[in-house]
Amino acid sequence: MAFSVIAYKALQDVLGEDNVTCDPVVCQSYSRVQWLPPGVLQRERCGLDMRPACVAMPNSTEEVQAIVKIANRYKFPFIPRGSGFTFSAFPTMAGTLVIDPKRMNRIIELDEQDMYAVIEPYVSFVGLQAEAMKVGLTVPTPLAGAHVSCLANYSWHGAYGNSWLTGIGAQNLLGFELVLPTGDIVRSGSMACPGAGYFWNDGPGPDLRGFLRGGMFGHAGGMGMVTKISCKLWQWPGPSVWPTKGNANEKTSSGFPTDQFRWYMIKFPYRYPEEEEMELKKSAELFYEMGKAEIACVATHLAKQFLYTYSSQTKQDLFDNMKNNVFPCGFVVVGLQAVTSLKQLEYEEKVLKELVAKVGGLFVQEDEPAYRTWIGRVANEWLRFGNAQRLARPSDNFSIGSSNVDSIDMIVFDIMEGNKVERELLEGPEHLGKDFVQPLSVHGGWISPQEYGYWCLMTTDVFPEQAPEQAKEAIEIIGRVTRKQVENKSSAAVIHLLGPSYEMLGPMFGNIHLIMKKFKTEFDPYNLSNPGYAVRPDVVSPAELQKMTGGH
Amino acid sequence: MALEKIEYDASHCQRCSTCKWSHIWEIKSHRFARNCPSIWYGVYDAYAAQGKNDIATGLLKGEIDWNTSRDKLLEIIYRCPLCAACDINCKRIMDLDIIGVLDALREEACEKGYGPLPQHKEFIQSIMNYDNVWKQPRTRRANWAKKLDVKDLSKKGEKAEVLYYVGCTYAYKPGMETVPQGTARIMKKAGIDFGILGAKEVCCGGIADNVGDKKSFEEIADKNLKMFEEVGAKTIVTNCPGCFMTFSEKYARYLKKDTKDLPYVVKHSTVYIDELIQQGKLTFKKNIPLRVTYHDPCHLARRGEPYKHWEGKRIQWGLTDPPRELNRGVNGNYEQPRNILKAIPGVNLVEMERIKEYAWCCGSGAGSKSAYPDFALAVSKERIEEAEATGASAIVSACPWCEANLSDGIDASGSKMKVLDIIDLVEQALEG
Repeated sequence: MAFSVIAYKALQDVLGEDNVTCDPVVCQSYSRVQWLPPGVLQRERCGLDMRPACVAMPNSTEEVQAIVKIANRYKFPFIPRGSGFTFSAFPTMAGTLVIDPKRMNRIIELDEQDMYAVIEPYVSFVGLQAEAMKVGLTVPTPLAGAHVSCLANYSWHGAYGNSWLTGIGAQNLLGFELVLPTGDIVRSGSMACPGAGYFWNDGPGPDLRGFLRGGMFGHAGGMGMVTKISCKLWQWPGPSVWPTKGNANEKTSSGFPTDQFRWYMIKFPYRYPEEEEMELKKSAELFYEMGKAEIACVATHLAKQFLYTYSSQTKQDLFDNMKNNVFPCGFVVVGLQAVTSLKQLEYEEKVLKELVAKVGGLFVQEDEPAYRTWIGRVANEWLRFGNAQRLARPSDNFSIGSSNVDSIDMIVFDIMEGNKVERELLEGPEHLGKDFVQPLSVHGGWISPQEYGYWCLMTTDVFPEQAPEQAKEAIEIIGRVTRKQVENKSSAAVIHLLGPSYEMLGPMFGNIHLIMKKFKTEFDPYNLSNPGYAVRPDVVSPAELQKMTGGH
Repeated sequence: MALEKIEYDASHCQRCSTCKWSHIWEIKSHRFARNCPSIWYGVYDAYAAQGKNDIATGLLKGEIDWNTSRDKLLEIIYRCPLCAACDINCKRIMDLDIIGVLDALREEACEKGYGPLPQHKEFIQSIMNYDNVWKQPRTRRANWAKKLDVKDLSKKGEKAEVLYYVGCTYAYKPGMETVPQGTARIMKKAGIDFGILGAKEVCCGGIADNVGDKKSFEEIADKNLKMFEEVGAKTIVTNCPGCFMTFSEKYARYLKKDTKDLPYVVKHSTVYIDELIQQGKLTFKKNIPLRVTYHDPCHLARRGEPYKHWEGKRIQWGLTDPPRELNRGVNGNYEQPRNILKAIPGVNLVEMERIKEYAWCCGSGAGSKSAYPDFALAVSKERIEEAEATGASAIVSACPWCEANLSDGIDASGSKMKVLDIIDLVEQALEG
């Protein structure tokens, strides 16, 4: 769809000729999406043009406001993006303008004393962390990968390698500046008081962080564009420059001082997969105990597929490790860091050992292949980035099928229920996913307790090849796993592959989708900010869901 | 069609942006966190490897075409130094042949008759006419060697253990002749039996391959391979990383062989001199009190790995049959130049933030300086700023192209830094 010449000229007047383009080749580079199998995107499924009509590069909040006002004047849809990693950055309608924030890449403030940073949309986690480490601070380490936009990740509730300590994005978002779809500016948290600064996420009035939960309105883009955030920083007792050894794929980060950081892998004496439930329950028990003791900076249960993919140096290496059963089951991974002193680290280690013994766990020893492969290669990555991109290594394609939030106990229940459905489909008469290789198919098993186990996150992941048949089967399996979770009424959120699921699941949560739609209508009367859905909405239809949930 | 062979690689890009940033563990500041000169300068995603994957896929699917978008396609494809920072970083995550995609786009441009660019054609035509890229007469090629008493192996009856291949730029560029002269004196000092090809030395042809003109490249490669065979070259030493990589990787690919199976062994002069130092054949005596930083030439460092030939297909899960060993930047020539600098008394080597396999390119590679001088200059100035941040007074390198472009960057930015070739330092340190 051609972009309005008058609108284009208006954008050029504001941004300058170099910073807006309708060139089809440039726009082509914004036309694809990752982390989704082919045929999932609504527009792709309908055979529609996937390319945005225009790309604009603002350099300031004022320029973003101007873009949004031009969009309202000429009635074209727009979608902002961060680094462009997830489908939330993907245009859903013909004639869409993509707002690429690469020129808004400034760290505006890094407050060492109050431990926060104020940043623009194209500041990456790794860049911010590098600056923070110089003053003894760090960031939550993004599982999406350290290259992603901090702002987009915080705004979209990113999960972190050290979530055990830090919680997810929302917990670390101290404030934001949002250009509404009308072009007006909203500031949240303490910044809502003029001149107060971004130090506190609870300013006067209602908590506006909910505005950023774009899944309610469209496919997760939110209302308008966030142009600035303040994010919480955490203490960093480690070196100001990351220690490394070796080159490229064989590089390791094993030079961390052991008086500041220590890693542990913990296993339980159960057989996989027959006794997986017991293993997961014991892991949960350990997390609860650790939470009570308030120890550790990293605590998570990693499923086999995570362990294999994260630690792989090459695709062949991954499949070789699987063949050699390097990770015979999932493991609990715990990281301790001496935030205050060596004494603290030694205290935490002592407590951890007591708790592991109490719940019947065993520490994986240094000479075991699992230890060498995980701790030897990549454990430290969890203090810098989660490297979820590497999850694409097995099939050169990856997607989080669904993502659930609940208590640790309920997450274990969800995993087991989901895995039962998945195994029935993989092994049953329908032979769905017959060409999948376990554990690299649809699988749950990641337990990510947050904030000392106060709540918990998990995902069911799917590794289809780009073969349409396999992608279709993967979607079908994820759909059925999700249905099961909905039937159990066990999860507080089911997102991602089922992009518009907030609308579907709204009835489960006090019809929250209705009030959110009212906000949307009020602030975006022409429905220009991320309209439509990127992902097919028919995996679980609203009618089906109503029936399953009994209208609640 | 050139693009068909990289369809899988281009279409499986996950858009994770790893190609745009430096190695995550090695990022030491927000300021110097980027690794791709092309998108750093061009800003839009189209200039990153991610965007080029999308463009290659779009061309294959007919979503964009050469007829309507030729100029923009050429600009995006060629305003890139093929430094492979994107490729090496991507391979930490995925098993995709990103440099293969960038090469294929250039080959496609040439197949369609739109590439290479006029500035590149000048180089190639010059090679065809004069055997060098600088439109200089063949007779002047070995002028640098006058008074040095170096064997000319192209003359009947002359034999030597080592063929010293000089390359067009060191041979012809005014002011750069000190490097081959110094190299010759160093090899003599070490007692090496070596010779050159004199006026019969022919350009390696790397530029033709870099810009996608495979036909011209193969013609030039044939000439050189024949010459190497005629003079019985078993060990080739060269100062130019471009020539080094061409002989090591490009000729191997052309011959469908592994580098190790080529009829000769090619070594960059820094690798060779490091070996001579280890063997005790060279000892530094003179103290050179100088704080320097070292710039890794892409073709010597991350692109300097031995080539492993592969022909096969992708099978389930994107595995390859037979298994393919990709170059991942693990075994580039990173340490040898540093070993040399560390061995020189008085030299204090201080590293820049982006080095080795995650080094920032100088900006001049693969025809980008000739076609896009503003781009090359901007990339060079960025490197100079990074070098200045180390407090070094000189930036040392081992590549004529890097040195020329870095010098331009210094001139344009008003920096007081000096650019030194490592050979000049080695020769000074051997004196006395």
